[in-house]
Amino acid sequence: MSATSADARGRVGSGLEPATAVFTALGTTAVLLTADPARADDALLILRAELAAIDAACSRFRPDSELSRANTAAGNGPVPVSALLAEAVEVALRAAELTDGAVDPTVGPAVVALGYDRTFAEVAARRPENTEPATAPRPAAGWRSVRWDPALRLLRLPAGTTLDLGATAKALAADRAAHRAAAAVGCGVLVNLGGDLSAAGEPPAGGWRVAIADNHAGPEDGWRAGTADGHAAREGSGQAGITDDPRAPNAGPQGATVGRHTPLHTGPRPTITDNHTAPNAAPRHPVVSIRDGGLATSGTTVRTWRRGGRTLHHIVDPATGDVPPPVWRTVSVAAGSCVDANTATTAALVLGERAPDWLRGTGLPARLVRTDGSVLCLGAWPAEGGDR
Amino acid sequence: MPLPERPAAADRSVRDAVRRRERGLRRVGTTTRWVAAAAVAGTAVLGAGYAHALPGIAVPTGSARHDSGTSTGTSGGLQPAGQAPAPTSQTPQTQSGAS
Repeated sequence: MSATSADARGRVGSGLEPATAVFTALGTTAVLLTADPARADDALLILRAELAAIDAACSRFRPDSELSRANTAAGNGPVPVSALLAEAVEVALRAAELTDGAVDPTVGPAVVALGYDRTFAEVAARRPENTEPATAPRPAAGWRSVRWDPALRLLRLPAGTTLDLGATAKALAADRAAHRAAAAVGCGVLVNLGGDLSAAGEPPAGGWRVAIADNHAGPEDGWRAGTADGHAAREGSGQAGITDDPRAPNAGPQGATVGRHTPLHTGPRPTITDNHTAPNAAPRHPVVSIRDGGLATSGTTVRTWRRGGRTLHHIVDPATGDVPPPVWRTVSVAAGSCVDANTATTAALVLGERAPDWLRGTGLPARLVRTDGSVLCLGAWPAEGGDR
Repeated sequence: MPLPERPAAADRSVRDAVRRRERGLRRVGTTTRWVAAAAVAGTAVLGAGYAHALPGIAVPTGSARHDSGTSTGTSGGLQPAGQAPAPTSQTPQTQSGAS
């Protein structure tokens, strides 16, 4: 974990507004909202402890993590794991089962083959692009190849398989931290980890107000600048490989983002800004209120890099081992937990054109933004100006 | 002077003895088969019951129960929130975006 927290308590709200803490963790930005500002310190301690525990258990970038040790033992005997990693494994396997393998934790080797073989900050440092030849896509071994004993917490991976819990572990951390913090401090808490939100406890009046960051600009405008959602890249646009800076789009091949930051970001600047933290997002972003559960947004234009002349991102189709065809730019889903919301958003990006039907089957409210900027709202997601 | 045993009576006695022996053999065989079947069934039941105690024998995930009691729910598909998102024109407190 790379928590650098200087202003960890951020803008402590006065009276009606919840307290806000912003810091970096798990390679992204963490935001904590506490309905009762007087309890913000305690909630923050719980969140930090939860993030540290998840990082130690589930990070694939830390050689000393439990997950790394289990991955190293692939092909050998079963590995006993802690209760926390056991929960993370079960959450990942459940996500795979519920999405029929569209969200699959055995996608690890595929992600590595595409070039995401180190922390994203390090991947980003290979700008303007990684000139290594592209590696052939590696389809995932499949989640059913994982042998998991829930009673004894024994994990055995077949040779050549590694688990990547990135699709679910961060959301699990948000859920665990929100519920534990809310129970401990006795008021509403919202945890936002890189745009994946979990709310627990009694929310403030009117609920938690969340901007859904996306760019509605059409392709004729490119990805418009001045927004808070960080969608700065176009597939094959020849822009720099790192595309996080909302002010950098169309800034030329070297107009990337290290050293830049969104003016809306209030905490210490992580090397790569995911831009989930803007509490005062541009007004044109839709804003919704939620009272409980999870809300997640996944996209293909933020955490991107270039390799072999292609713009790649971290959402990988387990069936092909390659990035899915570009259909949706972002997908947002609200669900009973952040894990379920994030499972749905990731699956939708993988499923592409099949996503709307699949999402309708789940009954979850969803908002999908096509690569051309058009918006599709499903279920109980509030419609936007006739876009429905 | 006693009369000699009639051959017919002697044959009947032998046949009865043979029938009794065969009936006994059938009973032994039936009992043996029942005992064998019960042993096989018992071994299977005990083996299944104690399989978890044997290191390296794990249930394939495709049929495993995922019942760790996580906050995400354990069955019945993806769970909805208690209340769907509602539109608001107020200033956001935080932001959800792609990552």
